[in-house]
Amino acid sequence: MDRRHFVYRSSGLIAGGLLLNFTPLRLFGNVEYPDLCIVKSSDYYKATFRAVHELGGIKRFVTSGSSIGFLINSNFEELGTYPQPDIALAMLFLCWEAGAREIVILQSVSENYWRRSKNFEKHHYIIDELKQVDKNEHPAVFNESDFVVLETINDAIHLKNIEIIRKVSEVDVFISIPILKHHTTSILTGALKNMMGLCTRKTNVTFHLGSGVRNDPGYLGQCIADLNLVRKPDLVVADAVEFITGNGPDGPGPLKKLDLVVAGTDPVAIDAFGAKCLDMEPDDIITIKRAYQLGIGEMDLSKLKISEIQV
Amino acid sequence: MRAAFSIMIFLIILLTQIVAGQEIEKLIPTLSDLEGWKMTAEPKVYIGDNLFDLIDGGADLYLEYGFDRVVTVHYADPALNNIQIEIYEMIDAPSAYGIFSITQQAVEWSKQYGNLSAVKEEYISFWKNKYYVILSWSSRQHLDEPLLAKLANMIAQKIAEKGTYPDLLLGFQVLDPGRKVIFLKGNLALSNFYYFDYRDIFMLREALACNLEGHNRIIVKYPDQSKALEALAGSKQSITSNRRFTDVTMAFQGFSCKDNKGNLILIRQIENYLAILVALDNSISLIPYMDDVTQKIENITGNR
Repeated sequence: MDRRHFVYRSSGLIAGGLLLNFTPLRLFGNVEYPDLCIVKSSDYYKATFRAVHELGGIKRFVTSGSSIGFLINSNFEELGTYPQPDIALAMLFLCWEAGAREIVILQSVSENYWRRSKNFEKHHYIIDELKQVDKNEHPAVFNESDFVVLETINDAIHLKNIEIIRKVSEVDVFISIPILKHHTTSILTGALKNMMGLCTRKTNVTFHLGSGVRNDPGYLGQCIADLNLVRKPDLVVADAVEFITGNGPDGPGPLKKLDLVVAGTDPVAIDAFGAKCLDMEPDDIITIKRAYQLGIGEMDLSKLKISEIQV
Repeated sequence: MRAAFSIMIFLIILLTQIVAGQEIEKLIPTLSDLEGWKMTAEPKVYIGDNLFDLIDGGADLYLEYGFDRVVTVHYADPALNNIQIEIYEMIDAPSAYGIFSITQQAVEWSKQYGNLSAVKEEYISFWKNKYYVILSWSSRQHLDEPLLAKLANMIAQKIAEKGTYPDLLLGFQVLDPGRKVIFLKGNLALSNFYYFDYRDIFMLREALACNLEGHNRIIVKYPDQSKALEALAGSKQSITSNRRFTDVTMAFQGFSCKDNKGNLILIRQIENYLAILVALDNSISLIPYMDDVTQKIENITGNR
């Protein structure tokens, strides 16, 4: 590490690290962290720091020497179709500061994506050291070293024989970074649907066509819910900053800007909030209903402890 | 004899597909059109359900409209500028208009390229005949707008026939590009315009949708009046049991309700059509607009 990086890391440690990694409230024991933390800010990097802090700090999730898997829904071009790279960079920085042994990008992220952030250069030293499952690039094709076949998934209704990234079951901590946006078939794509980024194209096509009926959102929703039984993310940090409300997932579509970063451990709750962002009810989104029915999380926002902050 | 007949049919189908595939590839600009550029890979053709290999999500919508095949090609110049071209061949011209209209509803339309086009800074899309074309530019250096425009014109000129607009659209005589009228061919498309339900509660096969004067207007056509009545009854039942909608009330030849934003929705069956109006503002009165739609439909069906 050169001096410039050291200085940056040190200042980062002071500005975001020490404060964020250590939550005084924890000293008193039995602290109830919020289920969701929603931070409004035009600085998405700082908003991410603050959101994680409110959830108990990064050390609640990442211990020194642990391996981290990141799933970032980055593979889109239009504004409002991919999570702001500042959110992902802030999370990488926090994990790095927490002493992560390795950080694995579970679905390929291009350098162009990172370059969209003004913070790209000062995080170069982290990006350079990321491990990336390069073969998990659209349209991902099965290979034995990167993927594993799961013949059955406990409690799944439809899904079986899926080809999924091996590493997702191997990493100590799994962090999902979706954007909450419109999707043509599932209406909302967020934390739950982001999991499809772990599967091969062959598997994902069965979500769309496997029922034998074309354009079957009910079947797609159930498959997505089933997939979330494989491994629940330890932490979800979602972009509700600026997102498309139509013509998803690729856009271009009408944009809505809320400047919100949403963090939590429950992907159903995150998506339930995402439904609200799209002016819908969680009930409207079949994926949320199916995931709730499988016990993956809570879709009733009134039952959740939600922390809302403006920075 | 039977085997020989089967083989002959198979060969005819195969030949048809090969010819069609060659046709779509002929629409791609050649390297002589792009001096100094090279193709980064051979053009790829995706047919039918293989579209999922090209589009990461969203392929369902193309399939709903009647997708046949797409050819995609990437070009790069020494300065690492990139151009991507996708030429979608739909089953017919109305389907091409439909997919253009639904996917480009957020962008202004003009007649600059093909029959109608949508142009953004690094992006041109247009439809002509049964083709829906997208050209996009990604660059580390600069955007060469004249080059992208030249390529768009080149492709448009290679498509000899203009193709026809959907009959439903022609019937309502709404061909002003300033008024973006979307042609829907199923519930996914409807959900992309205004979301009612993930289930096909209107049994929608063809419809027009547009936004004007503070309300969304959706006109669904059915083969006959009994189907329209069936869709009216089915949709009323679904909406009544959907917590997103409230105040479901009988109205003249239909019903009204409110959505979760408190916006009024008015649905009326007129001959073999359903007219669905959604107010986007609480101050809007939908009745005069519904009467206007009713009159237009009755003029078309000859009931007046």
